[in-house]
Amino acid sequence: MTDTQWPRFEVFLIEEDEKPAEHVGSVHAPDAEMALLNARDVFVRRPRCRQLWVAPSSKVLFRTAQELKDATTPPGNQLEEPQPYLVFSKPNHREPLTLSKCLSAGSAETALRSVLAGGYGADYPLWAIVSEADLTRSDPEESESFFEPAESKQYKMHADFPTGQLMKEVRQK
Amino acid sequence: MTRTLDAELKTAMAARLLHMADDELILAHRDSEWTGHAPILEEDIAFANIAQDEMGHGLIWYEIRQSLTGEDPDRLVFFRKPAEFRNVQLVELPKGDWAFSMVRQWMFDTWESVHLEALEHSQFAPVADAARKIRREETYHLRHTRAWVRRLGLGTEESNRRMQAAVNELWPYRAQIAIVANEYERLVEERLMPDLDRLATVWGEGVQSELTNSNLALPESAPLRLTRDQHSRYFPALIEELQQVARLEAEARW
Repeated sequence: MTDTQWPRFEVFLIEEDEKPAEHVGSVHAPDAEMALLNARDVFVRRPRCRQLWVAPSSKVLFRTAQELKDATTPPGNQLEEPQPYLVFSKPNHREPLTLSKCLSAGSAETALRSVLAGGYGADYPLWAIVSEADLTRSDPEESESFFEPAESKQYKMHADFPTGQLMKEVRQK
Repeated sequence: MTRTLDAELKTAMAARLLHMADDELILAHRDSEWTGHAPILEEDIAFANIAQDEMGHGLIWYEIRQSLTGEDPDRLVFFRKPAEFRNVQLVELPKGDWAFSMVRQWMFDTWESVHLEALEHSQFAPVADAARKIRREETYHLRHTRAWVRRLGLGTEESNRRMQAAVNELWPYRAQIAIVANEYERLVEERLMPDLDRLATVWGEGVQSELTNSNLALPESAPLRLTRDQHSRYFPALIEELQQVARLEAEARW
């Protein structure tokens, strides 16, 4: 059977203007525009959001600490025109994969190597690197319809429903 | 601007708010039938979101109506007979295939974008305020459904064929959305509600141009002349399902 799934896109979210982008998960979509729309529906229905970015999963390099340790030859030796890369890092298993460095490099691998060579995050368990050119960002002019309605919607916790109390009353009757 | 409505205007306003609320409610119900069945998980979530938004918009209109008539929205939704609903048939037809539901939602979103923009100028403040609030979400709906209409219209031979079939089936139902009782005229004169015939023309032009961009066309068929008290044969079953749980225990508190 052929795979009829749409390609995957990684989703990054900026919750507040002053906070860095965080990796929140992925969505399937036929193209970047639909990926942004799907990301909005899957990840921003309730919580607060200022911006969403998506990038094709095939263009995002994920590296675990184990993979970095096992790598024998330093990859990325082909010379490419340097371009801007975004490096996301996960400091530990509790904290999210968060944007930590932006730098110019010849490839995603070399971008990561140069961050590590600078002594940053030597013990971090996970990294994700994406070229600026592969990111599609939400349009700030669309924030009003994309993100603002979510802020006025509140989670209704299960405790908000009187079901438990009502069941007790019914049983006592 | 806050206006006090005389008895005649109040009645006319309440009648119109019921049209608007019922349209949103019934469309929400049909959309919700896709929950768990949409073609892909992400779209399942997106379409359920849209359904929930439309239900919320319906509630807003029912509540404004309640401020005029005192009628409880839950009683209206769960305890009216099918014949007492005032939604258009466009929103009550069975959900069909994905193309049908998408075209319907997109046509309705296109209507809402024209209608809400006009409602923002209502001299009846609760309606103008609600329209401003609802329009933010509707802008997103239209962005979403338009993206789908383009992709399916311009997609494969099959997707285009299904989309065109949906357009052909739905568009004859368009006229009912602008049909109002004579008493509505006073609302227009007093600038409490917009002239729907004018809006329907703008709507038709918007639908036509978007279809052209998506390699689809409007059918030549004449609009069906239906009033808002006429429902399709599918409607009683929809209402039965919608009201089933509430009617099991009419006095239950939720």
